[in-house]
Amino acid sequence: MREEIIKEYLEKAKKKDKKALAKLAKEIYPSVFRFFYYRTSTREDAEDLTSEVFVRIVRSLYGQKGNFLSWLFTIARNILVDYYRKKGRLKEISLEKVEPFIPDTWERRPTGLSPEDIKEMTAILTEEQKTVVLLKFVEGLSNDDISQIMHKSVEAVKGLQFRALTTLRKFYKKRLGP
Amino acid sequence: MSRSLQQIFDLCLEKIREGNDREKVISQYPEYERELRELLSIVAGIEKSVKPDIFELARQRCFARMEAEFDRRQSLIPGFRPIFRFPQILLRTAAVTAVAVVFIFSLVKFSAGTIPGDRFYPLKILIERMRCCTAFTPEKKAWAYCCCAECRAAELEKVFARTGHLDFVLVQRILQKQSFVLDEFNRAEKTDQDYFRERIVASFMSQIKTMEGVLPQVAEKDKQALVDSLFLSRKHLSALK
Repeated sequence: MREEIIKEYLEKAKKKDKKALAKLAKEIYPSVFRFFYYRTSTREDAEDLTSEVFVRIVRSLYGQKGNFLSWLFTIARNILVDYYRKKGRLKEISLEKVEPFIPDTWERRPTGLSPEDIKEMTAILTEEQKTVVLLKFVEGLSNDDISQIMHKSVEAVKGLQFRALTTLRKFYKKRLGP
Repeated sequence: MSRSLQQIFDLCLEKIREGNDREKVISQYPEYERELRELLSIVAGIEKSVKPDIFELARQRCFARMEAEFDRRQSLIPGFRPIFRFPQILLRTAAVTAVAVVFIFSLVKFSAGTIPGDRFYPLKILIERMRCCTAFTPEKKAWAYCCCAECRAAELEKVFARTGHLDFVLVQRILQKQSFVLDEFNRAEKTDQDYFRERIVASFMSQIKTMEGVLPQVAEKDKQALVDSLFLSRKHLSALK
């Protein structure tokens, strides 16, 4: 349903319909913002990078082909790479450093995990694992879409996803004890 | 073991996405029950997590920037198609070329009035050499050398007016260029010779006149050398006639 709406707005936006472009932007803004929010140190950085994505969308909308969401997150990923390059690569955080931030009973929490919990939890993953986990379980993208965004095979994406979850599981077990 | 767990986990994920109950799906694989429960509970935790708040002000700022870019591109590129970017590139190239041409032209113009010792004098010599090299017929080469000799004569006059001394290097260069002129001129076709003869003769006469103009003011010790040079120059002129 959401994909159909996006497709409809996209077609109109390509024909220079400003209102359709605004609607399209409204529809995809949360996903793009979340993509950056979980990966950048501050909310302001995430907002700046999000607005950069929308400027690039306008610049290259006419040449867009194929799956829009894959294309969108590819742009976002490229911008993120530039951001890391400028800021200096974010340091991988060791398990010991992150451990205190993970709540013991996060699974049973009635309110669910907070965005900060997700941010801290995924901090122990590699950048690729983080991308797969967030795109798949937060944004709900399919393995095919993620494989296009990451320029990897579907099998490689599945492997990354499994390794990421195994890392989180080990971490979770360690925290809760045997 | 890990490999098969991965495959089973993928299968479980698909089934849950199709709408099956998580506990039911897990119970189908009792050998991995504990691992699957833990992995799927992590997935569920992430999926059910609270999404970060979006600030309306930031969103509006973002959309305003996007719309500004949209308007800018529409005003710049009528068709909003990549092909329309081409004239812009051409325009920029033309502008850069024009600036470069103006810059080079100004340098050439500026260097034309220089004398030996000036900063841009080597540029003047370089341009003269290029001119001589790019003249492909003997008569045109002769005319190019003749222009060089005329320049040296003008420099000789300027240097003498400024310092009061005769620059013999310049006198020698005038004679050298004149002999080059003669060599090239003699190699040219008869019809071409007739066309250039008058111009070259006029130029030689002007050079001789310049040297003669300097002669009365030259120091006694330099006088004889200049007279000899004048004699040679007149000889070149008569060879032309």
